[in-house]
Amino acid sequence: MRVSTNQIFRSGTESIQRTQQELSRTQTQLGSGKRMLSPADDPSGAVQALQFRSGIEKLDQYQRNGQMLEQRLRSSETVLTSVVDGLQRVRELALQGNNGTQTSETRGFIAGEIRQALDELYQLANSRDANGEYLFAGLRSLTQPFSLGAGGQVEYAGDAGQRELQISAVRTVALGDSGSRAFMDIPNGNGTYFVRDDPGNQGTGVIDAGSLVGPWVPGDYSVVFSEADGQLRYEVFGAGDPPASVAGPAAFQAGEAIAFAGAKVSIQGRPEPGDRFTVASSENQDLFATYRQLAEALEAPVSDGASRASLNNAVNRALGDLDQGLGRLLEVRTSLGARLNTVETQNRINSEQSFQLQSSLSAVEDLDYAEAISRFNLQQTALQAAQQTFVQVQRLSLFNFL
Amino acid sequence: MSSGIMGIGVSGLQAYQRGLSVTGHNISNAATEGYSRQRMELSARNPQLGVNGYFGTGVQVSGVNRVFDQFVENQLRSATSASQQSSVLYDYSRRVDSLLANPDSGLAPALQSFFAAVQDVSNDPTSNAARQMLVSEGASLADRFRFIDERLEEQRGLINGQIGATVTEINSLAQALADVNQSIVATVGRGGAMPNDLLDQRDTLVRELAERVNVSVSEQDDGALNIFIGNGQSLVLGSRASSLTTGAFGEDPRQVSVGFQSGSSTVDISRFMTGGRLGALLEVRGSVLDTAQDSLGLTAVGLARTFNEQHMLGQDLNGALGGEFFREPRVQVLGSGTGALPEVEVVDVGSLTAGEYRLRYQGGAWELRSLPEGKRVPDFADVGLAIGTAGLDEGETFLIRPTRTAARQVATEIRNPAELAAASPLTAAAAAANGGNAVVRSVQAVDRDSLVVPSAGAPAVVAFDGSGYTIDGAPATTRESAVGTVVQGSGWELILKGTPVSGDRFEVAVNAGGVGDNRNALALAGLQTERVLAGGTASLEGSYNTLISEVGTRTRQAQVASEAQGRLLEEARAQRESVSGVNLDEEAANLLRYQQAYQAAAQVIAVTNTLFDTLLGAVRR
Repeated sequence: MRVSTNQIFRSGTESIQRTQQELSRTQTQLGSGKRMLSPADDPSGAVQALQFRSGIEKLDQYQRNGQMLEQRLRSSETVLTSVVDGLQRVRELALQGNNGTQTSETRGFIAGEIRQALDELYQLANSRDANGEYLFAGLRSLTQPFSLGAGGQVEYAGDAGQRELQISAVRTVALGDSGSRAFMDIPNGNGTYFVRDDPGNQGTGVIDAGSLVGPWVPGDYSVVFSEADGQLRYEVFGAGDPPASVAGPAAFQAGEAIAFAGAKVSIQGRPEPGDRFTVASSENQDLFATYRQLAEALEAPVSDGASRASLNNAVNRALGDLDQGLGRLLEVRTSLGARLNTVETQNRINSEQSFQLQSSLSAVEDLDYAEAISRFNLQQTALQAAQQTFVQVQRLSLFNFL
Repeated sequence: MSSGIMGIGVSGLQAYQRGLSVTGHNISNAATEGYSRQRMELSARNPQLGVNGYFGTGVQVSGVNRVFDQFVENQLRSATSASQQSSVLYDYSRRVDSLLANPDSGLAPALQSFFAAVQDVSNDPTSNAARQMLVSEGASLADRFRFIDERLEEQRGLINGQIGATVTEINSLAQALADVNQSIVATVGRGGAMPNDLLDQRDTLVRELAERVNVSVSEQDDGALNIFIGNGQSLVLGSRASSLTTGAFGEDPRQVSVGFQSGSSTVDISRFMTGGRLGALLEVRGSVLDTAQDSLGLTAVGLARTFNEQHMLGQDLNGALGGEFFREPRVQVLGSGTGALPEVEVVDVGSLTAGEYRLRYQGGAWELRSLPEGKRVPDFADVGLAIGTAGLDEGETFLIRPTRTAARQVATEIRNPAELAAASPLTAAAAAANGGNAVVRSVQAVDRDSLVVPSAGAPAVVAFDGSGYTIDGAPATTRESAVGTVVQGSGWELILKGTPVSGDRFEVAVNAGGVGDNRNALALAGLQTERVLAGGTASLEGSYNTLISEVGTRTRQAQVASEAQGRLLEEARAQRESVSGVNLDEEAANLLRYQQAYQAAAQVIAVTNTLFDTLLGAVRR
């Protein structure tokens, strides 16, 4: 093929320019560390990179959510642990107070300590987190959940809601527990039914918490004592007018089991005829009331067998209620712990996933330096060759010899 | 006899002098763009009949021709058109591409920070800082939509300007070609020989024209070249040039189109303009810019609508139902006349498309057709629109662009962080006396229009009567779902899990004081990944990613085409250079050749002179 002078010049500069372009591209790649300089270099890779980046951002957010959760759950856990400690102290105090060696004065000291524990419980239940939100107010997190009513009773102003936080695309975890569940709505007695002595009892009968022997038939029952033929008898009445008899009448034997409606109770001591004990389906009672009632019982003067029996009955009842409260607190704390575990596990999974996405992202958009540097050297050599040959060829002309 | 030899010598002198001048011309034009090397054709003069036969009478120049191949020239011209087109296409696509996918200034990072802020509010709905952050991130997201749209609009302005400039250039090139045609026709008419340099000039002009738009040429017998563009519009006929105009021919007054003066009317020939810079500009505007703005707008409409709908189902910090978070973009409607425009509303973002439609009265009804393919849309709702056609002028047509201008219209309506509706407006609780084990799974507002939030004092009572549920005594609609039994109230749904017994009651009431509630914020955060667009196949992010991959692929294609066309152009140029280009070494050789021949011819004259002297000397003696 015939070659024109223009063509020689043009192809020379052309090849220099092309190599320069490639060289500058490689240089930019080396400078930025990125394989893709513009999305058009690899359209599907660019979209992939965007997706990876968005995935990483989301995981980071889930991590942040998880950290927030962890912090809140831990502060709830701390508060609940203090509450449980306080409750166990109150339980010890109740046992002490029940002891026959206590005088009215020492019982007064014990009651005082219980009232302090009540104050402490009240403070703890109104705990706030670092953001000023109440831990146990449900969704009404800026409303003080527990407040004192006129009669010394504690009222709950929060609700039963739980805030859920997202810790993965498909998983949410509840942030806190409502105060109603932790402190308020606790069934009293043994969780199924409770026992109570009548305030007008004259005898020394002390009823135990009882146990379940069969399916509990819900209702309100009274164990009523009477005397017939010089023998102390009891009879258990259910609901209805006149009340229907469900057990007895039978002769009373102290400590002997009285069974009815799936329940079994026993009464120690010697009730007087006309004394009565109530056995009824459990009602919700708050922990504050349990403390308060215990303190009140310990403060009441003990002068004779009947008042001592009343104290013993009250303490027994309080022990049952405290155990129910403890059970509930442990339940709530366990669920907190389980959630903490979930969050920790998920955080680990999230960071692993994030790491994987990071490496996928790097594989898509980052430069292979070894390859790029050797390419750079090659292109440099090519450019030098193009420049040298250009000069050499340009020097050749017939006119030089004319 | 001697006068014959002298004549032969002189003819040689004259011929080689010409030869030297042709060679000189070639050498001087070695670097002239579009120059074809010229070659002198020599032939022997007619011989004279002598006694013993024919005797030669010297040499004559029979012509000066340019070395030229029409086929190569045609190839170069079409390669120029194609290469120019793909390189302009690549240039503009690349700009749009980098704008959209930029890891800092693209939409993706703004969307991510926005939804991260939503998550932060859901973590801590009472925090004023988190709420303020979300309000600001919402504003920055809206800004980002506007920013990208403005950059695209800038490109559109640039392209419209370039179209105008290119059309002006085409017009002046057409005029120059008509002038050259005239000179060539005159020269050819006068002498019959081809004016080489004028032809070169004309070929260069045609090539310059081909850089701007695809042309086809046909040469006339009188030497004139007729030039056609588009689908046969004659741009140059002999010495007469037509001119192209730019203007708006459709409903959109800002859409610059190319018009061709035909008789007294001007017709829109934009869609026939292919190849060259003009073809590329029109293509970029239609397939890259329009697509990008439409898709970006679709994401904007999708975000504004779905986020607003969910936000309005929530309850703000003041206990009021949520308002609009984003200002919703309006559909662009343009009419061909001055009559009333149809009311166009987006009714369903799921079936909304990133496209363009024309509304026309046809066969007794208003008919919607997609552009540019002209496919009829049987029902307006098929494309997610409601169009009010009452009172429209039946002679008018309307251009409807559901999402074209949406991105630039997005703004936040919310200013006060307390107005962020992070909470759900409802709470539900099971009555304490319930005998069954059915529990409240969730309660949520589902429809703002029919939503009635029961007050705290008078809750809506959902009761189980043994066979079904009632709400405040009236039988309620229920359905079973994977999460439990859904009881439908007025604008809300209560989901119950478990088995109720007859007489069990559940109360639904306003979420009074529930400032720590994040249920609605969680639902809002869920919108980031929910597939709400394209018939439930694409999330907001996904729809934007689709746009990026679309533009990216197009840019990639343009890049590959541009490289390939560049190489083809190089090849065609090399071909032309190979045939018509000047080689200085060759010319140097010719210079030597003609110089030597000239010297030899001069020697012939000298010998003739000697012969004559010899003769004179013989006679004098």
